[in-house]
Amino acid sequence: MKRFFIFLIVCSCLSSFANAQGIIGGKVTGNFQTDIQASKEDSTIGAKKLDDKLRINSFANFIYTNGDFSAGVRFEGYLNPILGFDSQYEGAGVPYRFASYKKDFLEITLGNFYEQFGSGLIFRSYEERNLGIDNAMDGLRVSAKPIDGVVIKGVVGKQRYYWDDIWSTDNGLVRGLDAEIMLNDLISSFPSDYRLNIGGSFVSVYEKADNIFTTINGTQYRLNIPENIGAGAFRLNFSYKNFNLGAEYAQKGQDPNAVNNYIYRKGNAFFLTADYSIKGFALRFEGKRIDNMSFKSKRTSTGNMLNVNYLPAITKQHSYSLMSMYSYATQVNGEIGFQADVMYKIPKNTTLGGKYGTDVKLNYSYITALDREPIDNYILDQTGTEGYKSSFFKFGDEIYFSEINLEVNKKFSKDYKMNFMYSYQTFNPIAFGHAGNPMIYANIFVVDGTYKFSSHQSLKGEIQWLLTKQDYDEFAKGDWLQLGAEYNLNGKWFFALSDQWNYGTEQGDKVHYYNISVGCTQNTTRVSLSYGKQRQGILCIGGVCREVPASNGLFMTITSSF
Amino acid sequence: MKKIFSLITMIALSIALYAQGAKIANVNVKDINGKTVSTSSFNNDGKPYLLCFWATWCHPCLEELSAMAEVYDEWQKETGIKIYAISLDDTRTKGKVKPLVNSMEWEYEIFIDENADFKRAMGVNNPPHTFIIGGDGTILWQHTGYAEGDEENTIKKYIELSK
Amino acid sequence: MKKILWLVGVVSTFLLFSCDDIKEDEFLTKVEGETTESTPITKTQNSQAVLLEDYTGWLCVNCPAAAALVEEMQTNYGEQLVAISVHTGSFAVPSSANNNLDLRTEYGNKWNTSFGFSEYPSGMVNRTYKDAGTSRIYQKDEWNNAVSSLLSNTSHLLNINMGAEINNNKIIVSAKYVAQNDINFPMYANVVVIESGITGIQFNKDATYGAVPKIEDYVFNHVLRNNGLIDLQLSTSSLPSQKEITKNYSINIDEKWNINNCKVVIFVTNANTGEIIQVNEIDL
Repeated sequence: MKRFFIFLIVCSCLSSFANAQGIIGGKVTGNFQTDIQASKEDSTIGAKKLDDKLRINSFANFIYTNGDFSAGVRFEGYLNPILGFDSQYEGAGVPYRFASYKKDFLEITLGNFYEQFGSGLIFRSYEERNLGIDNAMDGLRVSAKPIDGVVIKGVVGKQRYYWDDIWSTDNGLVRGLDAEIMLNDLISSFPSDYRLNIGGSFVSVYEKADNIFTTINGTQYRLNIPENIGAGAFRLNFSYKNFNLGAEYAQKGQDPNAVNNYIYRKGNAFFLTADYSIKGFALRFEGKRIDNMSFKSKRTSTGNMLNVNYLPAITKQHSYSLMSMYSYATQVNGEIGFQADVMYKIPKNTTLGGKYGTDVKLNYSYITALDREPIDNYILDQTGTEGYKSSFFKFGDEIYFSEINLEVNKKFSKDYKMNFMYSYQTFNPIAFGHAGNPMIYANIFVVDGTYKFSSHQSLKGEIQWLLTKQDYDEFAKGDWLQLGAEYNLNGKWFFALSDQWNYGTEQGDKVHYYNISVGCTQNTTRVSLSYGKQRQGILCIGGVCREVPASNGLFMTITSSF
Repeated sequence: MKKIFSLITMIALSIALYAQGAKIANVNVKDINGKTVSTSSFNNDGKPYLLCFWATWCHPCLEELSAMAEVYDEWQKETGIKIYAISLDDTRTKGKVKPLVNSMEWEYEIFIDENADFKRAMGVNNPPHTFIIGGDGTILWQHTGYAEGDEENTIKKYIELSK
Repeated sequence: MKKILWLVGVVSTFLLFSCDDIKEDEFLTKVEGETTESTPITKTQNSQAVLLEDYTGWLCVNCPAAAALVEEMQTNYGEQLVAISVHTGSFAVPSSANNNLDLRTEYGNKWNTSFGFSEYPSGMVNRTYKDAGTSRIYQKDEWNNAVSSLLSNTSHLLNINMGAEINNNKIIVSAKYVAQNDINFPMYANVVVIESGITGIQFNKDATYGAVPKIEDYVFNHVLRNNGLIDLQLSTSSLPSQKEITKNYSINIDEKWNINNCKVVIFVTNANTGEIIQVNEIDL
């Protein structure tokens, strides 16, 4: 707290200095969100009694801008954290504050910052509030454009860990450098039909060695731990007319850690995208291979915090709740896969296109384990050894996830439109941390329609239906049916009802998870209140997941920007 | 309790400092070809423009942008409006932005805010979030969420604020 | 062009420093020191004891005062206080002026850096954090309070019962660790040899403790010696109350030691925090 006040004083001094220079004023903008939860015991869905009755998560951002200077703070309070957030978040304070100066070709940020190199394979500092992930860096960031077409970034700092005073911990120090060259801007004679960007980055984490022991054949050994973990990546992005190609390859040095079972194998990752698109039609392919790429600034840590890099899942991101019931999470220790998309707009004024045209989207994704073999004389992933051997291009035998998805968006008239979606998903529970359980095969259907009966009022109806034979655990409970309706008034008010019915399970009750909600939006302020049951589940965004316990009660969210 | 007190102080302070006329934040975003562009270069020849935060995975965003795409031609002829559509897609989905924009035949100025720097700087909670930015870069109006027909309010506001 | 060269320079420097590469045959170090030979347990323990580590050197003029304080405290606390003198840092570098008497140890030097010692004399009391802060270093005047406050706790976690004997060029140590309460963290054991009665030259500035500016025949006590066994894994997770662990260790005897003046010290740390939870010593 003391540091924070010093920070505020420095900021106000700087801004008054700016004022003295004749740049009068300075503006504050920001936003806030508050989530309030009250849940009661409900044994039918496994909701536990909360001793603290009310749980509140809130945050508020304040950003002060004055000319080229800006500074900001974020207040966060978890009193106590709402269900599903790590209990280590309990508390309140200012975990995020920064001061930044940006002029012409230079930008300097002191304090907390977020940054990403390339696609993030070796460095990404980001926040995903709904998952309770925040790995903001605390330190120094410099970004410069020395000449047109060249961007250089440098970062140094430590990562946030809940409320820990990170500078007094032994958590690793993260240092990184990134350069990106846009050849079209650098070389004026570059043919304009082509675009070529190349980039490279290096990241190094320094962390003191820990004492890690392992016993092999009855003999105890101590691991000789590398204290500097280095990683490098190279990327290019090429486009010619309507064709695009992007590729990034990353390699990481020896990094025995708790996630990879303390093996010494070097990590690598490869990410490729290619697409071709013209008006009304697009084709897209994406391939990815990840091999031992867990990269954290604390080698003994597991879970979602302290990640230095970001490895997204290359599967379709769903917003319908039954579509995302079996959401895939990236297996950072190794996976190989691809996805392909076709997007087509059936033109207006054709039989299938109708008056407004019809959007059709097809997606296919397929992800498997790596093809791995043990090192001679050792079991797979033996601590203190190379761990395994793997051939680069071969798919493994174990399927992690696969989906075929068809989506059709159709507007029938000025007032009436519908969306259809069908998906067949093959899901390996390893993504939920339940390796070794039977695969889940699910057919999922969604139909939703919106009818606008005047310029102020619209009604939306939704049916979602998930069919699966697998009914063996909390996360595999057979068939589900969801019905929902939402009424909108003036773009300001909404009123919604929904019921998610687990009619297909043979374990326990066939529970109805009903939910009723109302909400109001006034410019940038939105208040919503819902009452009902929330099933126990796993919330995944961007290939990262968090468990959400069951709850039964009230939930209120207020968001606003100013 | 001290912390809550300091929060209240901060809110009070910002209300005191807050005045109409906050400006669009100056951060770097990428254009659809991967080129780094400063948001301070956004303009509509001195006229106000629209800034829409969206994402390929956000249904209401797609509805809003599709609805506006149908009338964008008309709007442009009548009012000279320009729309900057800022995608919040990260590595996982940003590859879908260009194919989607092309296949949907959108004519907006598309930029990608891959690590949410612009979103944070503008105080956006969740997409869709729409701003009207004045010719001098001042934030004139903003709105969050999308309901059927909202685009008509937006264009009315735009015409009103362009006068 | 200059700019680009400069950039290449920065990047390659960065690369050089960024990555440790360990050869495959160096991934693992066999943990030496544990043995199947054993010796009878001759010394049992029933109460909390505290380890006082005194960081010192022959060139440090205030150190004789600290050493005198250690002796005084040992008389007061008896078996509940075990003392180790760690000779390290620039004050302990041998030269012809002290007849090249080198009392430093490999791990003593490592602790000196990792715990952040910069002034001598200063020390650690069970390696606890001072005032719940981030430093474990106590000034000499703070030692007595720190020790007595640790000893005022009525319950303790662990007893170390031990025995030791000389077998040719080795010391065989047997230890029985008995949990007195539930211990919910992993533990490391450290087995070291200390030697008393080493004579040498010590600089001094206070006539109370001997000749000024140097004492020619100063006696160094509790001197930490090489060949100790550091951070041996004792338990990997938790140890319930009344459970026992028995271990046997073997330490190579250095011919420079006067073995009759040596003692074996065992101290057990909380592997998560590095704090010492119990210590015991035995004569040879």
